[in-house]
Amino acid sequence: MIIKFIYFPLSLHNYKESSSSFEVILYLSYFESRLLANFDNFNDILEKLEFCEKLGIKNVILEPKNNIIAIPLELKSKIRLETKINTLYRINLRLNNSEDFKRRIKHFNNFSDILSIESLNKEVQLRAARDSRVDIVSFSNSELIKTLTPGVISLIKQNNSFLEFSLAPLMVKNKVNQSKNLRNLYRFIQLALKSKVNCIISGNFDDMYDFRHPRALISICYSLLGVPLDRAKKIFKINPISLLERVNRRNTNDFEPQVRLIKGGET
Amino acid sequence: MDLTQNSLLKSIWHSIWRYFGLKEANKIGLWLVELNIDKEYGIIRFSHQTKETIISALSFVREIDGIKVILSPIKTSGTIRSIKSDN
Repeated sequence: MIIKFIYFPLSLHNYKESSSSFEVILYLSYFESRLLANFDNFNDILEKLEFCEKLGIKNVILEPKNNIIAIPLELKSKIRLETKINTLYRINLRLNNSEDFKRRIKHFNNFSDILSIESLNKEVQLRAARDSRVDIVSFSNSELIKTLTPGVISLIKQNNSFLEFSLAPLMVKNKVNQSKNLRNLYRFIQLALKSKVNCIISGNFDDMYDFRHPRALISICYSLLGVPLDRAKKIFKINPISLLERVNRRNTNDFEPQVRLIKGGET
Repeated sequence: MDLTQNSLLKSIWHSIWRYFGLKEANKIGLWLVELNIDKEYGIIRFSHQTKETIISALSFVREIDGIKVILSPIKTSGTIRSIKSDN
């Protein structure tokens, strides 16, 4: 078996990707489900997207670092003009308690982008897993992942929303922390696989030199986290599409399959 | 950038040993077929059973001789001819 690879030294590489149609991108390529960018600085967004393009990433879900409630349409169209990458958007809420959850979630009725919730508080996690406005309950760092329970997984599964893990904790330099994070990720990913919940695994890397192509992340999932290859590919390819379909369904007010609207008084 | 075949192979082997240990390392049969510094690409050969291991190990290489790098796979093939024809 032979593999060809590119390497990026400090100067950016000038490898060019051939452009593909939107349909091909959507159905044949993998997703980076979480890319943090500073939305106050357009150059930061462009720089990160350019870097992803050079790595060969075709679909990216962008998340603002700053506390923005909605991403302006002008910014979205500006980004679309500047990059070949298929960009989608998500908002992540870091919440401390239930009151905080109730207060902030009401701004997200009929929200057109993906909404994810992160919290160390178990009550908030349970509420988020039950709430149909929440698309993703995220356990993306080493502290959060330890708070995941089978109860939350079960509720996420019932509500058809998504559970998110991130591989960023594996990119720490400290060997002790890295092995602890690997162990935790392995434990909880196995728990999620066993319960057959909808799962998303994202990169969520902060440093640009930690960015990896989703295909490389699939290999990590398979070889180090014990995820079967077909499941790993599904997590990076099909599940993000299902997530987008869920968001679209919410916006078009369609009901879940087998759910019927009963008019008042009808029996 | 001063990237040599030696330093690259050393980093890849280091990554393989660190994450997969002796049991996997002895199955790999790693060869660096080509390293083109100007065009910033390389070609490596290994046992087909260890493809995922190698891709993971390449992903975990973050630094070579103190310089930050990313080794990102762009194509996998069964023959050297087809992989070279894609230049």
